[in-house]
Amino acid sequence: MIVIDFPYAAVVLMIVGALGGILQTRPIDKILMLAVLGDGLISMMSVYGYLDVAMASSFITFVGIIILMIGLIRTLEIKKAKGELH
Amino acid sequence: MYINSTVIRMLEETIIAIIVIYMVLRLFVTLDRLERMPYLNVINFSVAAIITIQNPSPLGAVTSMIYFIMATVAANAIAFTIDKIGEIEHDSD
Amino acid sequence: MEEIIAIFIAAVLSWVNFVLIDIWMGLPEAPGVKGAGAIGKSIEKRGGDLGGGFFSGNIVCSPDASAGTLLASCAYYAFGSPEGGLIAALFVYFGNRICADPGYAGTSGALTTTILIWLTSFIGIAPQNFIVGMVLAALTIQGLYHPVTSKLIGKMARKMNRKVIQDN
Repeated sequence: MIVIDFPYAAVVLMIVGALGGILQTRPIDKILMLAVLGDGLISMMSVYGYLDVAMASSFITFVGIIILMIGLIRTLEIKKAKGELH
Repeated sequence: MYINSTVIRMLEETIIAIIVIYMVLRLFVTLDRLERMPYLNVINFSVAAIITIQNPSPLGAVTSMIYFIMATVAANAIAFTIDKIGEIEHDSD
Repeated sequence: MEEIIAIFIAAVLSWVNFVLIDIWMGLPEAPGVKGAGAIGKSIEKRGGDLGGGFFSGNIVCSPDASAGTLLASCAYYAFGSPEGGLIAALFVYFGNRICADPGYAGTSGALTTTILIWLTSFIGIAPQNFIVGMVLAALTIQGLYHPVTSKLIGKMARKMNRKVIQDN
């Protein structure tokens, strides 16, 4: 029976996350692909035993995504109030 | 007994790796933004499972719990933002 | 191989556990947080059921019984005894309050899963089978085909007398 080790799936996660971040056009889609990339990194770190690095990285990555979202909404509202939206 | 437990872990790791690869390819191809969120949620479940399977110690379980709860809060923020952006662009027409 | 049979039985048991507790706690009735409402309406637009859509949205956006089941089985496997289930229930309770969700679905899911794993340990099903089983159960609800599974969840919710919004 075939055995797929998890680092191969983590590499696929990271490649798809990076390619998706390049190829998507709108910022909201890019940030979703950033979350996929972060998932791949955290799983790769924890498979090789670096658990405290994975814990700190998961805090910082996801708090960073939340702050990016708040900034994105604020930017679009200011653009709309000024009348420059599309 | 030790060899038996290593073989069993290889089977579970294979199942979770196949699930992850299928879900991430499906996420890459989908065009609808809100349809990607449940696929991202399955990826969160499988990464939380693989952290504990590879590190069967209390620190592994605590890392898995912290990762899963932070990833759920982030997915909530992403879904809320997709909705809010749809509202902002729809009102400006 | 008997390991595959054990994983299959654990998957069915954890599917029944988290779906019944979530429907009993009223997840298909209303979105708990705002992101869940967006996902529910998107599933309805693609041909699904609104109650099933709110169910999927609540699973994505807030820790509920599915999170409780997964984390309780992880902690049971790591600690080697039912104490792990209680620690997982504590963490899921904190996670619920961080998401501003006033429900108790996660903690009850974790506690019932701890009892379930302890009971099936006499038959020969180990906690790691429940971990993989829960990932398979989440895959069937969230990852296969949203219109069909949301209609199934909506039908089960109406049969259990929950006030799910009817879409005609």
